[in-house]
Amino acid sequence: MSVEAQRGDPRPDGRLPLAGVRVVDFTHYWSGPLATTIMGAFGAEVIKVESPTYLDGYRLASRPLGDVTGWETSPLFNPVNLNKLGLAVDLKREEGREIFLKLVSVSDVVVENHANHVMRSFGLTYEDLRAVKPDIIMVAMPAYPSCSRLADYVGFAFTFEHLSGGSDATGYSDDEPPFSMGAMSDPSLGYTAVFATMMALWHRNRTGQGAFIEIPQTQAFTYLMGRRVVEYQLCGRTHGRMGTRHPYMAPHNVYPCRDPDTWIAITVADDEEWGRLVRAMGNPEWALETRFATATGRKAHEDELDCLIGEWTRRHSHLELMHLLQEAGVTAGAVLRPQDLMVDPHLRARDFFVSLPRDIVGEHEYPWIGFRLEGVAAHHRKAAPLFGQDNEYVLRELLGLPQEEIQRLAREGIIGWAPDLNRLEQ
Amino acid sequence: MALLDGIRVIDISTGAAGPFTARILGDYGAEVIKVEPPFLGDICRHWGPFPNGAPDMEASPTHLFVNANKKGITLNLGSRTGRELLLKLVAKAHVLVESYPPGSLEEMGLGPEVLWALNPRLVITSVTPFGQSGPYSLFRASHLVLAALGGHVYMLGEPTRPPLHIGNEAFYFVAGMVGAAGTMMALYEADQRGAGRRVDVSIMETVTSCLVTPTVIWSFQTKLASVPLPPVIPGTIRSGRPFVGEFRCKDGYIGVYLLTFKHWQSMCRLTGHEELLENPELLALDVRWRRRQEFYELFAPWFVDHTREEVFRIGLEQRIPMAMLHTPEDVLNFEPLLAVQLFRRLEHPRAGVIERFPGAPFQFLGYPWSVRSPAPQLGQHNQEVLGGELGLDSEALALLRRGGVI
Repeated sequence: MSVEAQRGDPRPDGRLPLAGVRVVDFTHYWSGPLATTIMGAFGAEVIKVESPTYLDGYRLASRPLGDVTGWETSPLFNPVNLNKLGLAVDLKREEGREIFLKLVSVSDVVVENHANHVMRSFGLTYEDLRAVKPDIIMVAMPAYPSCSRLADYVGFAFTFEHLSGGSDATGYSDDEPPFSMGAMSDPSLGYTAVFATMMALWHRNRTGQGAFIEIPQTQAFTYLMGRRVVEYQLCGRTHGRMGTRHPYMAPHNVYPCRDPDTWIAITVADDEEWGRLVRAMGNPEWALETRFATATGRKAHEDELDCLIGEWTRRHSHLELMHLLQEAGVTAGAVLRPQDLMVDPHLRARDFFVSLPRDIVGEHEYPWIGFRLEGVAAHHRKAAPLFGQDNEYVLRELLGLPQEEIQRLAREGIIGWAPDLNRLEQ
Repeated sequence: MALLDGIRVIDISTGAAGPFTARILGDYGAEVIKVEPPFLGDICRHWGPFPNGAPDMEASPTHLFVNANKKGITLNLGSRTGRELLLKLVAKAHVLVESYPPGSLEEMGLGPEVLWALNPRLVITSVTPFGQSGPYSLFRASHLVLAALGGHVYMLGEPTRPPLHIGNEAFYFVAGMVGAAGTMMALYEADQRGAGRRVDVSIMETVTSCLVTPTVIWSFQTKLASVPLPPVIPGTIRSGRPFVGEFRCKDGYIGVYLLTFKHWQSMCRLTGHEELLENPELLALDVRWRRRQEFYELFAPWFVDHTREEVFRIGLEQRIPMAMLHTPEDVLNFEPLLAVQLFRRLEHPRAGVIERFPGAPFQFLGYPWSVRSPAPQLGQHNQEVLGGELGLDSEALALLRRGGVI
């Protein structure tokens, strides 16, 4: 008997936690689309809304756009729009707005990640949505808080990283400019939106009430990076930019390995761990010198220490070395490249990637996310929708529009199956 | 009234990621009881820097940041009495957050089956470096090693130099948010199903999920030679700074990122390089990308005559993605963050006053978040929780103290 059955699980096998939840996804780029991709993976029916005159900006990372399929081939758009249906409707036209509201009236959640004025300009504020669906959950992800002087401006991943102070800690040294954090704030904010949405669904389930949640991305990412401003206020300083080094630990760096541009990360927390590293290196004479015996000594002679360790690591492959060091009780990890990640045995053992076919781009493997619910067979279920792919399903089956009406909307350019490149506002 | 009023979280995790998951729930009103080993407490209490350079387990910035809005008790979970007391707490809780190496809870007699027998709806959130299964699950980890194995280190940095480590141990806090998202999903499901789940958070996989594009780009590049591909996208692969990079202004740095053709157009006009717009070759993003160093040098002189604030304003008006590279001091004085009252005054009996303590990530209409209490001192709420809640009298508490249980 399965654990679930023993515990009297009343739900049929395979029912996902968000089954029965419908999400209207009016997000673009990465943060919002990742949030709704996750909701879709856990069973929600997600309908991505674009306009024939305004595409998800991530589609524009393809080229050439004028190509008949150019807007479908972006490797940025594809992986963060999984598990969704596609609707293309022009919200600037009154009839388009009415379709959006009709869709909201049969949905549970609306997620959008535009500047604060955008939904207002469409006449699609929380009040407008609540008028057609009193318990709707609306999650807004503007760049800046609606109460701030910058409310109506836009922002992107890099800007949140800089404004939060996170980039200030990232870079080769304090003498050089900071680096962006590589756009990881976008997915971080996607996870934040999943947390917020789940809290709202949980709350609705208990109270019957909908919700309005404003996630200003500058605020949310500054919160995530908040330790640094606490450090600064308490200590009057923070650790500077130090490349791959650490304020206290040495060795703590990435070291070159045998093949070009392959590296291994090694971090030694204390003297015992240093002893294990020395043994793993075969007790070379230099490593037994007393100046390297203590953390303070190693830190004081760090440049030399790193060179000497690098001479040893250079003789090995980054993957072999990781296993050798981990077995010896040393904290080490290969600096995995994209091609390493795709075949990584750990990720493979955990079914991290899933292969999904799609028209135009073919079959590709898409990565999973940072958490699982044990016992829930959730994974990405469907590749990204083609532009307007599910217009008919949404308009006819969900909203009950007659076929002639759908044809008229198409003729008048209110809905579409391809972007109207002549009218594109981007 | 707070949103998560009535939700009780027992936090036996250590470090930054797991404790941060519990704190996020606390920010929205959950009652969080942090359980630490006696004497040494959570390892993050020993992470510097410290005020005045003097190690003080009550004044570690990491501890103060990730353990605010919690009560704190001590329990030695290596002792049978300690485990029994924990089970009593767990019996009345909704969530347990833990970060033990996979298998350890089970070995201690605190495995999920034991906990669910007492409390079937309990959500068990495990925040660990590599997750509950797989060949690396018992590997030793540090932030650098996780960022390396997750694939982020390789992506960051200049192509001609060694790869780079993201600052501020950022992924610990992202994984904390991942844990909060998974926990809420499991709580939502538990209300309908009548049974809790284990949430398995992997910090390595959190890292990999934050660079979703390179693996997919790699897949597209290797399998789809016939599909026209964009250049490697700014900032996501170790091919230098994002297009076009960080510029030095009169008073600091500003980052400028020309993601679309419109951004590019505006930038050329702004810096007086309209001639670039007449070159049809530069319509293609990959051509602009290949020549980025040249454009960086062309644009750079314009910036040195302006302050960051001036450039930022112009960027906002012209809708060019730009941002000041804020120092901590800049962050604390940034208008949008002050307008939304992200920072709250927090007084800690040992560490002193933190005037601007970061509060919560978002606003849930009708249910304000709050910074109710600073991180607990070690064992601060032993009397209240073990005495009040579990009904131990002062004699019993004294006995536990002598036995090293609390």
